[in-house]
Amino acid sequence: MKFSKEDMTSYVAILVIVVSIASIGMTFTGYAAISSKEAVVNVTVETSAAINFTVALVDFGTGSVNMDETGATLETGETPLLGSWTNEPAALSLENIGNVDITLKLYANAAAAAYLGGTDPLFQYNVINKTSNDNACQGAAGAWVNFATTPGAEICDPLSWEDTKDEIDIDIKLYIPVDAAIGTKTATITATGEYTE
Amino acid sequence: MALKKGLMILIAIALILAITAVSLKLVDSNEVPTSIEGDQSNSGSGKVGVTILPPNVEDKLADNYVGDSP
Repeated sequence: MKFSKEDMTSYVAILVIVVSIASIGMTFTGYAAISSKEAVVNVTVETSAAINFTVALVDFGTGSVNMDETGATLETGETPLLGSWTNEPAALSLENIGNVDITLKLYANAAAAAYLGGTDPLFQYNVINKTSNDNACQGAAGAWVNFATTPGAEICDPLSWEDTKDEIDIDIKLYIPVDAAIGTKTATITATGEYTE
Repeated sequence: MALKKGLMILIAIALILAITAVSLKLVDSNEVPTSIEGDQSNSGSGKVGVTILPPNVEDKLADNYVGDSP
């Protein structure tokens, strides 16, 4: 049997067509027509620590200590005591938006004396689990604590990452003495979260 | 002549399919992103603001003046 040059070219062309069609078919379907191969996909989800203030501003507004009183007390979610201020703000809220439990610390850029001035001022916080987030914060004091400046105080160890228990409220209390410095005052509250691998 | 024309068409089809197959193989990516770097720590901040006005002072002099007026 003898093949001509044209015959050989035809056979090669047909072979190329068959192989190409098989290759294109495998690309689109993902299935091998002739043989099967196994593949392993490794996925590593690494830990990520992240926190977010979902309520980041407590603004008590403008006001003054009542006449003949030594000072007024302002507290988030409460009516001012012995003073008259324009706002009754809600507490700060903080959420662990990472995927790992963290140790949470809190500090302010100024403590009470530097922030408010006057005789025996108070600048305090009280950490509580947010509604429907029971057991979010282990070690939440549930009591008023004076703000400290950096490095701050540990308030949760840990703050859970699980979605149903990863949010806390930070209530703020100010005691403004009658001789406090007049003017607008702003304090920055910083929360830091750390985890160990 | 007709046979040669058929052969040319066959070769053309073979070339087109071969180029398509090779191109698809090259485009097909086998790389799958497998990890995201984790943070060691993170922080956020909030603000507490208050404006303090001078306390209201009782003006006894004015009260007396009002009281004494006819």
